[in-house]
Amino acid sequence: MATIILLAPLLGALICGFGWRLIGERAGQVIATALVFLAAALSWVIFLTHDGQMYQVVLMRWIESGSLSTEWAIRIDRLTAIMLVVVNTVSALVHLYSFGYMAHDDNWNHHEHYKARFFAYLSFFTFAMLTLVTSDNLVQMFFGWEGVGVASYLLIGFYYRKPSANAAAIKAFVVNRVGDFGFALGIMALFFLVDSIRFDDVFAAAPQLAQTNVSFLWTEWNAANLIGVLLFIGAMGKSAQLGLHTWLPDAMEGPTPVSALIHAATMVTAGVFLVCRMSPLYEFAPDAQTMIVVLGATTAFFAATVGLVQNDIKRVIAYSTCSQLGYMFVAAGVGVYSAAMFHLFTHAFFKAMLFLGAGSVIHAMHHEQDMRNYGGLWKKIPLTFAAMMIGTLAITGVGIPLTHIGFAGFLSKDAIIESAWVGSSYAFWLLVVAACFTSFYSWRLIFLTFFGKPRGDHHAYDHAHESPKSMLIPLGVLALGAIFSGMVWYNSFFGDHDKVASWFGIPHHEATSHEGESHAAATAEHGAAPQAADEAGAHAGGAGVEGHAEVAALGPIGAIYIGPENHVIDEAHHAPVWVKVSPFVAMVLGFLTAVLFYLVKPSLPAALARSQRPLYLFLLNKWYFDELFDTIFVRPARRLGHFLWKRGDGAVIDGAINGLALGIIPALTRLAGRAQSGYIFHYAFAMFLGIAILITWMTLTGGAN
Amino acid sequence: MGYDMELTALILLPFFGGIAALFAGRFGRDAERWVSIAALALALVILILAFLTPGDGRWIAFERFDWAPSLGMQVILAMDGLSGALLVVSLALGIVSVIVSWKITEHSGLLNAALLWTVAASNGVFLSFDLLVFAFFWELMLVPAFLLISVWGHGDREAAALKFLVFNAVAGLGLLAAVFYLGASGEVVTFDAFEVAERDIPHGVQVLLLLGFAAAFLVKLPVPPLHAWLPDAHTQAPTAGSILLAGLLLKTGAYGLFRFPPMLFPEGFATLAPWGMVLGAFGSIYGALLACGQTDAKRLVAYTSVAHMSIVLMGICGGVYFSLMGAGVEMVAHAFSASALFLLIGALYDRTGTRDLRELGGLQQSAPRFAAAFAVFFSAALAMPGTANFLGEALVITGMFQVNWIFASITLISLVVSVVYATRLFKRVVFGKARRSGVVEDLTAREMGPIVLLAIATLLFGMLPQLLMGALEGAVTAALAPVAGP
Repeated sequence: MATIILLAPLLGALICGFGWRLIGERAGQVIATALVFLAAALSWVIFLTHDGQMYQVVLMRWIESGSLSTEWAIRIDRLTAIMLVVVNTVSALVHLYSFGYMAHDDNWNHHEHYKARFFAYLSFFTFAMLTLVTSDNLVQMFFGWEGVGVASYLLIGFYYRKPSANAAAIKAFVVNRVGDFGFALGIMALFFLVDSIRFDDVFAAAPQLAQTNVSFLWTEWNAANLIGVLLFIGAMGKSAQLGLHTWLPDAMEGPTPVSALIHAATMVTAGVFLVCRMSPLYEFAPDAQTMIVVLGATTAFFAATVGLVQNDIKRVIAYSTCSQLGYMFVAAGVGVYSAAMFHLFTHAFFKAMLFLGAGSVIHAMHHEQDMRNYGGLWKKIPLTFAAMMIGTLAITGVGIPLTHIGFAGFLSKDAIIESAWVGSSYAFWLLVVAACFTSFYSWRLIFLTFFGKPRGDHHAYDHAHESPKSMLIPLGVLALGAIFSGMVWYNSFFGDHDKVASWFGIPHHEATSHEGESHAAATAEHGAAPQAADEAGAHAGGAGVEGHAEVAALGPIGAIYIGPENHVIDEAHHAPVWVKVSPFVAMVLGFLTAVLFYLVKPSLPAALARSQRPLYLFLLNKWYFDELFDTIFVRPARRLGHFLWKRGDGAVIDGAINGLALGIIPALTRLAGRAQSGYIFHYAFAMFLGIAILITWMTLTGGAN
Repeated sequence: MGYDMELTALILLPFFGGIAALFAGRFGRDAERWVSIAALALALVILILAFLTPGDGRWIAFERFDWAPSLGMQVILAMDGLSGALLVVSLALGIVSVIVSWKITEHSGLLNAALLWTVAASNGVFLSFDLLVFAFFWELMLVPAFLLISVWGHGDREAAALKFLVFNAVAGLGLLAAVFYLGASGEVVTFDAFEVAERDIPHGVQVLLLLGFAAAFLVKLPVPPLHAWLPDAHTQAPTAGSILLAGLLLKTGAYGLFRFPPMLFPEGFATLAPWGMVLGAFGSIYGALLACGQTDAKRLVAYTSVAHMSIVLMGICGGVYFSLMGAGVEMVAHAFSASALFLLIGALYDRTGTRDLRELGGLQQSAPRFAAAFAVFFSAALAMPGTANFLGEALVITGMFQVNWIFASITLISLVVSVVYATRLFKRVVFGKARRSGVVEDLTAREMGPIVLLAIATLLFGMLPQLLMGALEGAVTAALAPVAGP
């Protein structure tokens, strides 16, 4: 079954991509969509019937070389099951939605075929994403990781006649490669230290890594922390965290279904998935965890502030995605991986819905994306309005405080904020403020789009129309998820310790773990530790690794690993009432401000922007990150390349060697006689000269021995 | 060892095929092309048969006979997985280059002869273990390649051909000098590499001799700053010439480095290897950066070759199992992917008369097969997982980790830069509006054949790497722990 789930989208991509000329464009689209729906149905079967125990399906042996042994295998555990459902459900709905959204497109002439290509890319993306989430080892994961990167590149640049789309596609690719740099380094460091890239072996070795030091760059690092940080750099690229986030808002140049699928629900969550997948490692890497918490919280705050002032409807949602991903990382960083996965799960539904809803608005308004030209649309497109309202209620976290009744975002976001209160007060406060901002910009979007008087082109407003059924059905399905997914699965993801443990298939590991520690202590007492260190040092060779003590490997673990010292989830449940209520208060505050700004006194935002102009510009220009990177990296690199090409390669190397080769040697040949037939003669002469020198040399040295 | 002649045949068939092609033109239209293809195909069959017969573990096939015993010259031909893989590359690219130059009528007999002789000479390089014979083939290779550039090239072809020749001939002197010294310095005069390998050469002498070998190999590879001949040669050469240059001639440099320094001068190699790594690390970044700055598509690909071959150099100098394995894989992978890119750009040039990235564009709509082919080899150029190039580069970097973190990181950075030039090439050629080039006719069946072949090779070795890695195992182990041959 897992094999079918993995391969069905690939089959769809191949049929649709290469076969559409034979079977027709429409048939290709239908087949691709049907196959993804099949995968989605089977994913739900696995998700609902999975008992928490991990199992593997080996597809084939892959590499068997030296100490590197890899196979293609599907790993099914709770994490994979969650991701399968998220990826396939959203993908299937987006396929369906695209029938309507891509039906007519001004970017193409009517005789040009672009739909089959679009569907093939979508299906290919789905396959790559499934490869990523079902992988059994890091190399397989890297295949999927790069595969989604390519699909993302192709889909962002889908409107390839638009220069801005091309630029955005390349930017996404390059920024992600910077992240991959860290990811690849992390994988290689793991292979170097553990001699395996299989997850099971890596997890088992995590305690040893925590005891190992590695010299890298200028100083000594703890191996677990170093690898944790390197892998997180990869996650930062894919999940658009602060510093490597600049590609995500630009990626909105792609068609809106793409934004919903790739840049909201699935690919951008790959980084969160990676951190959760590597939980056994991160539990032993406290410094890496701190970094994740700080960066995640800062990103959540930063992106929310920028979202406050953006005018493009898709960019507002893009920054909102960036911000919500920050929430997920905070949860993972403080060690509540289940809460991170919970938010990933609920966020996929309501964020995909917000994007698809925005797509429906854009579709209705003839590809107008500036919210300043919207207004009063709720009468024109009531169903889309209802969907956007549900999405907004979900993302802002509307629910009844101190109960478990509310929209999906209410439960998962509060779970994260409570966990953050236990783990880091810095993160807690930033997240609460960000929650207030989230509420503000989400309601701002609703008020600007659907309320007030129409402000834009009257012609466009008059012709605004509700979208076709193929676009509304996906909205309806996602609405169910946005309303209920939080309440139904709250206990599984963030209930008490035992429920979460059985859901994620976590065995009673504490006994074995304690045994391991005492065992290590015992060896140390018996004076065996120095020997072990020597051995490890000898094995490691020249790379400067020092093992310190023998530590028992981790026993069997579940889909996520929660260290014996990690009680964050229990403490979060016993957080004081004011902590539990604070996100709700922040939400209401944001909502009231938005009401004041955009319904009661619409002149207020402009006045505020005038009086606080530097702050406004700072936010509008996204904290000037693009300009900063342009100055530090892009322009110097371009100048260096140009310099090397014109000066270095052209003048110095070429000039010097040319001068030598084309100046001196012909001069020599002229000396030697007439270079009649030209070039062949040079060659013969050179050989002759060489032999002559050699023979002289050999005669003089007397043949050495 | 029996006197099987299969390895000799692998060299002589293309050679005599070339002579036949020279005169075949008068016996019918395209006869010279069919003769060429027949000779190469026959050689390919012999090669495959040789693969199928069981070898002795280390060598798939081995031949040795005296040539001029009084001068210590023998013919020693030996083939293991590494040389075997490169021979497959050589014969396959030979066929591809004949097909690619189908439309060229000017001196077509000589053209096909030159293509086949290039293949014959490189086959000699890949097989010879008598050092003098090796050096002979090494120099011989230059002549037909020189002809290819200077007769059928574009633009300023004479200067480019001359530059190519002078660089390589001068560097070849180092090899020649070192070989003569080795031959004459023993108790009996011999150029047998296996015998030389058992000699105890003083450390300082090893370093000097290795410098002589390295001069020839590094120029051919080429690694900056010895690469100045390459961009010109590539840009001015006809498509077939570029294919053989990138696919074959550069590989002889890598092959030489892979095979002989660890075997003949283990201590000297250990001393110089760190410098090789420095050169490789520098070259990988330098080539990639320069590729980003090019507007001529062919020149761009030429600089990517510099970057990728620098990674090969680093892998060889790394000297650990994975880096050597990666270098071997990358040699084969790059032969396929670079040739394919040259083929595509050549085909585009035939149609539009320009290689300027600022003037091309819009293939996606007008020529979907063209666009798809570019997509495959664009992925290969930036080492996308699933292509053999990814495997090669990832293995080199993985191996380098065991040697030095910093070099591994620098190589990884060059992979980041590779995205810039690859996306730029792809965007300019495939996407965007068709600029001056107008509507481009899609690839014809004759062009699709080689492209599909190269694409299958690139993806097959990327997806099922064991095929290639299994074959390279023996050569890698030998380079790790040099032992004498049979």
